[in-house]
Amino acid sequence: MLIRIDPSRPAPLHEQIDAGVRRAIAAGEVADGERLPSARELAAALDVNVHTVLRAYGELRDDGLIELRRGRGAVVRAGDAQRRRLAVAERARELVAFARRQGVSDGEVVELVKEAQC
Amino acid sequence: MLRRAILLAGGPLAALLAFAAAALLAGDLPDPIATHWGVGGEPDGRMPLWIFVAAVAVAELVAWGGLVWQARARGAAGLRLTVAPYAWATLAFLTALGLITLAANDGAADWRAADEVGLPSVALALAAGALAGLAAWALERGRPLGEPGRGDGVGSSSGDDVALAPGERVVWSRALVSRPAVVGAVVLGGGLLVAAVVVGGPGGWGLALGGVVAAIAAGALTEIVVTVDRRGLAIAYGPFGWPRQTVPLAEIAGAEPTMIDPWRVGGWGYRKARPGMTAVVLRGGEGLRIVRVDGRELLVTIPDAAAGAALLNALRTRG
Repeated sequence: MLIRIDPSRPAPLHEQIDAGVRRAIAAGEVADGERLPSARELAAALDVNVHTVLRAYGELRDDGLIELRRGRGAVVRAGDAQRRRLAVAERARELVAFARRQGVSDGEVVELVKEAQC
Repeated sequence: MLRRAILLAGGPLAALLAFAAAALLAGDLPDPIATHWGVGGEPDGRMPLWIFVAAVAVAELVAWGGLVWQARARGAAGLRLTVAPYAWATLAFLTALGLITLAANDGAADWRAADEVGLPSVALALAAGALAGLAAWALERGRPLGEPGRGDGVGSSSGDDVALAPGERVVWSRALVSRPAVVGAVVLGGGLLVAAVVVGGPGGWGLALGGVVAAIAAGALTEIVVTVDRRGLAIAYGPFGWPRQTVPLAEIAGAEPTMIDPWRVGGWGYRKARPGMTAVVLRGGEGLRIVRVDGRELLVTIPDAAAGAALLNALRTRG
């Protein structure tokens, strides 16, 4: 699992960590049931505050992607269906970003997705 | 094959037979017999003779069964070097305690009249266990240590190159669990604790302590989390991420993915594979090879090692 964050990007760091873990799960870089580094370990590795990591882990837990255990850190709980859904969500985000760069509005993107279903 | 036969059958059978023979041939045992002694060495607990004999025999059969089962489960790959010594130590310790108990009771008209059993006897039993563990370790050790597969050149990563933007912070992490080690830790710890309750007395305390130590030692190698970041490499052991081993980035000369064959690095667990090479082996297969600036090497079994090696090399060149 590779996580990259960059303080010069506009998104807050906890969101960048959250997105990094989601991307890794979607890409199959981390298996169902696999342990993630403890919040303290990850915070030290990325040189951020522990609370920043805990906030990201909390968001992932609320979405049912990881399980937090006292003193044992975080364990990935993403079955195959969830992993596939995450992968599609990842593509959707890329699509929206790409559309914005092309000057296509979000509303138009929704229309285009509906059209693509036909 | 002779070593294998002694390790898996000969030794355990000898322990079991020694105890069974002593139980059958002891001329003059009271029934019930004294099976528990107070701190001062005087008998203060009893058990029907047949239950005591059966309990020791069953405990020994469990240890023996665990050894054979591990050997079978591993197939041609051989035993983990820790399993055989633990099993033999347990067998020898139980046999010694059984013999000591029978000897103390022999000739007594009543269990209360049994000889005193104190700390020296427990020390004797522990020594027997330690000796048997060493013997098993020596028996299982004789396999040749080969040269692990060497890559063409360390530092030229075969994984995707990781491009690092200035100011970007990046971490790579993977975890690996060894199910056989989890089972082993539970069986060893639990088995010794059960034996401790059955045996009771000072011997029981020794067994309980042994069980806890065995479970902690085996538990540390059930699970690892490997992390690569700007500081270098870190390996967190066990369910609580402790102990933790680190290799600072400045001490790393190169990293590469490699295939780790437990046969060629001397077995499973935390091993000195050969002088200047340490190996952390939870299973056979993909792993990370780190060469330090001073030439020492560290091998760690971990999935996706190519990605970890690529990041380490990228971080090294960024400095």
